[in-house]
Amino acid sequence: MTTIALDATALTMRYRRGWGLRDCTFELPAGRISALIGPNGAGKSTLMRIATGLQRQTSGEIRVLGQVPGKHGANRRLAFLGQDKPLFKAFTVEEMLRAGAKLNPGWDDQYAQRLVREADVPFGAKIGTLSGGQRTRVALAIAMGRRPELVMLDEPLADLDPIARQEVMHAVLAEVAETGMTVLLSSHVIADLDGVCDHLLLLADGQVRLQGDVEDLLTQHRVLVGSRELVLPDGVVEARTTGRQATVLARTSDVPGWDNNEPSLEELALAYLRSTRKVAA
Amino acid sequence: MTWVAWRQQRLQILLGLCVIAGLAAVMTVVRFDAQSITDERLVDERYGTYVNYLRLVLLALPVLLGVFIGGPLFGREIEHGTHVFSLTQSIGRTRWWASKIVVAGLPVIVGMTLLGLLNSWASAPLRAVMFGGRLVTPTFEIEGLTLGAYTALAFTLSATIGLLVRNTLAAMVITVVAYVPLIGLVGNALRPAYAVPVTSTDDKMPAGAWIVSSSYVDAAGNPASFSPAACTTGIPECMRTQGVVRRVGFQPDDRFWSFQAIEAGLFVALAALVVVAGAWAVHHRLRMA
Amino acid sequence: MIEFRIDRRSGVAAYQQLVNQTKHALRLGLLRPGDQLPTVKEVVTTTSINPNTVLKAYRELEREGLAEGRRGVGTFVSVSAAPAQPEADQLRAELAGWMRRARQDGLDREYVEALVKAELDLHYEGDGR
Repeated sequence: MTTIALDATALTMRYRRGWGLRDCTFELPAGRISALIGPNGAGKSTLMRIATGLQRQTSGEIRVLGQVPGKHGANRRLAFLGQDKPLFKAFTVEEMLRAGAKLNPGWDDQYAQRLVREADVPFGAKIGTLSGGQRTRVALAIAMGRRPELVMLDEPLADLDPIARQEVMHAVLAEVAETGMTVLLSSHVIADLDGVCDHLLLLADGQVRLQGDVEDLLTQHRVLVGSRELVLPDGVVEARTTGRQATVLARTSDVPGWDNNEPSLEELALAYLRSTRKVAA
Repeated sequence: MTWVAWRQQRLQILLGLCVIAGLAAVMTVVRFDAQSITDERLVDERYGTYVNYLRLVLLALPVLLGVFIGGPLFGREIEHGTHVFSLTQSIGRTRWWASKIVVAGLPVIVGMTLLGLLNSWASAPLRAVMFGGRLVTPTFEIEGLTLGAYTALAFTLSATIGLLVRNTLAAMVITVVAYVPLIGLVGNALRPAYAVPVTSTDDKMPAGAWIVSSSYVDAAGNPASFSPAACTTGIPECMRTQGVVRRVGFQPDDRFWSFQAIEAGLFVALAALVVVAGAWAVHHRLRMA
Repeated sequence: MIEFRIDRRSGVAAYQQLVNQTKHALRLGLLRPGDQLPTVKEVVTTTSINPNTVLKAYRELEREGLAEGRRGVGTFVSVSAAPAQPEADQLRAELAGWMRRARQDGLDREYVEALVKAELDLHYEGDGR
């Protein structure tokens, strides 16, 4: 098993109306849950589509589990769950599982069926009649039935109610605990990913703004609170002032004179996203 | 993939085959009934309208079946976004595309070919009440091998356009708009030239001959001008006094099957070209998911 | 068996919270030597945290000699994990008596908490958390 599940070098996707991805270079470590964070239109879906071979990049390179995507069909060790959880609406759950079996050599039918049973989804129900949560669970079961080493989930929690969000997340985590597979999870709701993800890839305007081990990143940053008269340290990501007070998020160790706090994942991500927006504006 | 493609398209496939089977049953019944009638006028009375309607239906059927099965084949899958599911499974793009084409297209193309052959046989007793011979439009288009070949083109065309424009309705409309003039063009411009016409200055034509050209010549066989409007006597009399005869070029009835083979071959070749374009499209155009 | 709870706003790393809660349960006798700790799968489905975090916490407990992993079975509280020391019961009883007196003397909760914290800081200085 490799230690890098996915790596990209200068990955670029150019659309007629601008950039999808711009010179993205990053690595995703194997056996981890990586968060792909960014505002809508940051290039999250583009990145996943290129990795699955659905789309071809304009330039640059990407390797998924050591292979160039799209060369020999979709990578057998990679599973992808698209944003709208596309499944055949007219199929029953049972037929959908059968489709999964027919389309994937090495399909683990017992496993996929167990996941559907755990989700309490009736096998005879038509896909079109399922609730958003049920549909996501079935799509997840079919993605897992391939016994992938790497699974990519594009906004898996969007459009789900709070209970379904939690259930879907638990189902994913339980399977990671059981199989040790690598996960790439995109979301624009950072709170959903806090505690869940241990690696971060932050995209904005098609560019990588921040990447690395979540815990390392958090210990490498500080939220500094103090008087606005104080000298700013190096590595300031974002600085805000209210009255006499300044609140600064910086890539730094403890700075004397300031009140030093370790940021939360959400504080960290939002600071980076806001700072890129200001530069763009 | 075969099962998946079948499960996805079975409604259209079965519906198409039902229509074909229903028509085949009607044709067979009519043939046996018409054969038992000896009086030609009675046949006309009973089946004149039937023949007209059958022609309409069979003229429209290849393009209708083609677009209703071919249009949604990829068009609807892309509209619903389910191609994202299909293309991210372990089977490759080419197998996905090819399986869908074969599973959805083959039954109806074979069915329509058989229906055309059946119609050649079933129409025999009705020949007397039909206008023109077997080579003439619309009989040529609805008998023999052409029905299947037309269906093949309409199906592959709408499937491939669906892949390119990513929309079922547009695929159907574009196919119809392209198909109808093509059939007309082939029938009027190409088909008369599939073989060198037989020429004759005899007024009496063999049965079933398809007249494809007509001109006036003098006794030496050179083209001559003749204007019936300038005649004061009857036209045959007038022609004789001017030393002019009418020369017609025609295709004899016994060329029916070779013409069928040529036209079917032409449409199958066109369909093959479209399939090649589809194979290219599935790899190069279907990337912007 | 115990159930873990993660407080995301506490500022304490999730794995540290798991370690602390296990130690706490050991101290209170809710966990005894030989008891099984929840499986990684159970922990992630009750707390929504990364499985690697749970593994990290369990490794930390193993490193401290409080737990041991048995391949394919799960993680168990070590037989050698110190049970509540004999004196601990005695000390707890004394503390309980002290608390009763404090309450009878009309000290309010905040005051007692501040007192305890001050003494803790004094006596356990340099021990970390």
